[in-house]
Amino acid sequence: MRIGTQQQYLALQELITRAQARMADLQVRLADGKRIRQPSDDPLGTLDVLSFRRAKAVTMTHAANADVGIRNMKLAENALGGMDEIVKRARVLVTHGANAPTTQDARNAMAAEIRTLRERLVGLANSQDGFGRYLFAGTEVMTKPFEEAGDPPVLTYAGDDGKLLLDVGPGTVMEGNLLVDQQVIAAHAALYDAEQRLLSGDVAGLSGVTLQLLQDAGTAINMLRGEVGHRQKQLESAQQIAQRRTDDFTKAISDKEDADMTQVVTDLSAAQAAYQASLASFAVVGRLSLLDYLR
Amino acid sequence: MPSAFTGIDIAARALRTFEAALNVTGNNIANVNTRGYSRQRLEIGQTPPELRWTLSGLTSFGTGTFVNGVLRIRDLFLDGRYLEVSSEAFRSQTMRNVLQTVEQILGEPGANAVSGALDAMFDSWNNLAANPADDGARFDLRMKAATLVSRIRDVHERLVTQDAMLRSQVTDTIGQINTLGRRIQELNEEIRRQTAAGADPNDLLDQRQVALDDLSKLVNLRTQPMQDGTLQVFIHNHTLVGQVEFFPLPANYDAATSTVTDGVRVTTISGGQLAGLFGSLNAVASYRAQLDSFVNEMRTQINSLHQTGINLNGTTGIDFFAGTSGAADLDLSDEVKADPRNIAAGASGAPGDGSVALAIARLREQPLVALGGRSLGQYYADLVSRVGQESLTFQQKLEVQSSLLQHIEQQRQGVAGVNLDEELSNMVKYQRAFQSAAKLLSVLDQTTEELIRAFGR
Repeated sequence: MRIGTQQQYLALQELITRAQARMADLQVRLADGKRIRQPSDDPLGTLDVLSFRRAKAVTMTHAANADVGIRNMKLAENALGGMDEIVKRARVLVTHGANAPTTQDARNAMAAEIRTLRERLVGLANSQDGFGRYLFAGTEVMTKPFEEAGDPPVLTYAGDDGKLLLDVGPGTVMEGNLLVDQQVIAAHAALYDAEQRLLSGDVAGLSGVTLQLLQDAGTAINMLRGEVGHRQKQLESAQQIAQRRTDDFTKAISDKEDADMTQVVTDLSAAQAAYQASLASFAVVGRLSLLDYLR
Repeated sequence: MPSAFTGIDIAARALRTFEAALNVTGNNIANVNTRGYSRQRLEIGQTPPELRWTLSGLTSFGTGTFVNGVLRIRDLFLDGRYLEVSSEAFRSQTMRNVLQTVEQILGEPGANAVSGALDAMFDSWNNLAANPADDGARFDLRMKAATLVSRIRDVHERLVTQDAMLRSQVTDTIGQINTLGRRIQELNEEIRRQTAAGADPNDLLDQRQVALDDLSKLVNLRTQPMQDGTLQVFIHNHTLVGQVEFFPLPANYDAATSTVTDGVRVTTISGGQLAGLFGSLNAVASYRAQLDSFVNEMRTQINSLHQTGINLNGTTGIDFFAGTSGAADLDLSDEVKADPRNIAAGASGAPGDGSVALAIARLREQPLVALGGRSLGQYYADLVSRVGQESLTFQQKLEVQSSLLQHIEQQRQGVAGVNLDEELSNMVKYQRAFQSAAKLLSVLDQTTEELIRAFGR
């Protein structure tokens, strides 16, 4: 085959240019560690990466939502635990007050303590989170939900029955708040009842109706605590699942998007060798000429 | 009887011939790096023989050489193939370049592109759903939504700029086609004149071929060589260069059908940079339409949910996004821009109600009929993947066509290119021949001198 001199040089230049371009491409891959830097590097892979990223973002929001729920449940549990202690203490006081040998002065003192317990109960029912939002107000979180008013004092609920719904998994919705108005109002009424009966020395009423009311209030609060514990476990489980899924998606994204560094280094070595060979061939061919053999 | 000076005539003609051969060789060497130059070869012919009566009868005696012409060495079939493949390759190259630019505009799968911003906005809606009374969540949402708007507007505006640049390039390209067409027509005129005078217009033929090569990069063309040395050039049904006239390619075009028209005849452009520009314009228009569909659906869906909500200021029926026509006027609504508390998280107006925010957050994965059953994120990802796929397709086409074009160019160079070693060997060959002819002349001079001296006494 006949070769034109210009063609010979052009072909060598093309070889060198290609070798340089290949090396530059691999160097960039080595620097940023990415296999897909633009969609045309792998269109279907890009689709997968974007899909995995979207899925990862969703699972991360599930984990974040679960975190909000867990935080709320922990705060609710603290408040409910306090209410339970109040009811328990009231039962102890009422039991003592129901004993015949107990003096009226002692009952009066017990009534005063129960009044304090009632005030603490209202305080706990109006618990707020770290952002000043009321825990037990339904969705009216900026409104103080429980107010005691009137004589005899009646506890009224100013919140609503709105629920804070949280997506914590694919198709899994959980409530992130707790409605306690009925239980708190019942406990408040039981405490008021205890206070009045202690003051009036109604021993029979204390041992009968009051203890039953306190018993019912305590049971109701404990049922709420059980509900809170159950939800907290479910939320923690959902959060763990979401975190595992997040990790899975992170790995899937990396598998698709990131370069196999060992392969890149090997390819770079090969490209370097090809580049050197193209330079060497240029040097060899460039030196050869009939001119050197003519006198 | 032959003349005593016949030999001297033979030697003189040989000297002139080999001197011409050395000149042709020198011209080849001088043009070794000239683009489009076709190597030339001196055609050496024998002058008519002399018939003389000898003892054996009528005998033919050679009378030497003469220059029969300077031949331009060229393979017309390869030139034709080059024009054809060049048009295809440059169409692919133009498309590849534009699509790569679009890929850069989209910036995917980078974390700061539209996909990432869309996810970030939905993350914020979700955060607001979980913390509906939180002013910080509203500020965060407004910021993330503004970032998304900014990214989308940036993509839109850069696509609009790309469209304008392509239209400008179309006009320039048609101008270049017409400039080259006029140049070919002028060369045709000169070639016809010189051919009629019996000359070999080799340099003009080379220049015309270079112009044709350049033209093939711009548009699909077909050529028809004529007896008088001219060449007619056609673009589909349009005669760009006739036997004597030049007909400019009309500047009115319709990119959608890849045609140009003078109002009467419609010419299809199927190759070269011009076809690539038309294809690119169609691709960019299609991407813009897809982006607009995405934006319209996002705005409609989010606004329709947001309007049902009551914000912390107690108002309802407020849009979250502003604008009506695709990405061009996408913005946050004035209310949301003025006060993030105008963002409605719930349907009841209670500060802890996140039901509307939750419904909007769930839009992220919701299949939408208007988007062919795909979610917003999937639809945009499909656009990104489509751009990538089309870019890759033209890149692969270009690689194949470039390789083929290079192969044809090598074949052309193999025929028409100057090889310096070959020219050097020719130079030695003609130098030796010249030296021999000179020696012959010297010998004939001596014999003639002896004759003159002998008879001159």
